[in-house]
Amino acid sequence: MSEEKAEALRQIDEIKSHLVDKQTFFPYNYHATYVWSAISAILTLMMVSMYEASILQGTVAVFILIAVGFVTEGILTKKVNESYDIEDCTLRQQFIMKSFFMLSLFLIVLSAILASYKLYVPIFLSWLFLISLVYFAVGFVLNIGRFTQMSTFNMFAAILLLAIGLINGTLLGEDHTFLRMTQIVMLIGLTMMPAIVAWQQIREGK
Amino acid sequence: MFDPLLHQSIRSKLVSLLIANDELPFKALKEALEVTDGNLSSHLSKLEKEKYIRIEKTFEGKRPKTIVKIAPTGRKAFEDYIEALKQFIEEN
Repeated sequence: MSEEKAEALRQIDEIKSHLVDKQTFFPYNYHATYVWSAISAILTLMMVSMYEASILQGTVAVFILIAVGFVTEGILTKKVNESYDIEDCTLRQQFIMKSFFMLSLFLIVLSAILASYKLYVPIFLSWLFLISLVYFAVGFVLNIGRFTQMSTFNMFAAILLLAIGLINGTLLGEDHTFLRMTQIVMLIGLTMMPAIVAWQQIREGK
Repeated sequence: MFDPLLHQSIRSKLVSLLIANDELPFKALKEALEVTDGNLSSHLSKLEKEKYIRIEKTFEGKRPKTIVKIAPTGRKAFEDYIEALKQFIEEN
């Protein structure tokens, strides 16, 4: 192949890869996902002891951790949004954040209720399923395949654990092995996997 | 043979982005193309001089905002450039 032809083909490829709608620009700072991963790890490991101390203390602690996550994400994302300056992308980002925030508030209230009955496994499974559902929606709408794959795995894992818990009657949390198993799935699903996805997205310059 | 304005990596990518979006803010172009302000301004000036694009400076509140729009001349030149590339590839 002549050098000129190779150059022409390269030029066509570059043009194709840049014929993208601005909707595909997703001004998001994936470093925020690392923060969420860390918060998820803290919640998974500390939630039971925090609720054991008192429901109010547990609820306040969870709320503070979630608030830290949103503030950090807001600051990081604002910087990226400013660098793109595309209004509808900013609005889309704000919509996603508001959805996550409302869901988090719902989960905090639900967790407080479940914690008063010492239903710790259902608390973890609710967080795993519902947060993954939002990840799924975000991944689907914004075409982030890794998010949809990750969340599909998490939702199936949550349903499977719920089924096992119902069959074995271990949802009450008296079975520490089942509780530990749920926590391990939480750590994989909401700590390790989002961090890996973020790392991959950052590595690819997204 | 090829349009010298478009047969350049950054400018062809820049016009591709504008073809797909009609208009984009300066900042978005800078981020998408991973170039400096000066570099992007230089390419935009060349394209604007030949009326391939239009540059509009507006205000969003108190904040200045530069919008880059594709012009009909630029759209036609881009289509011709793609045709020329295709033809060249077929013939060689």
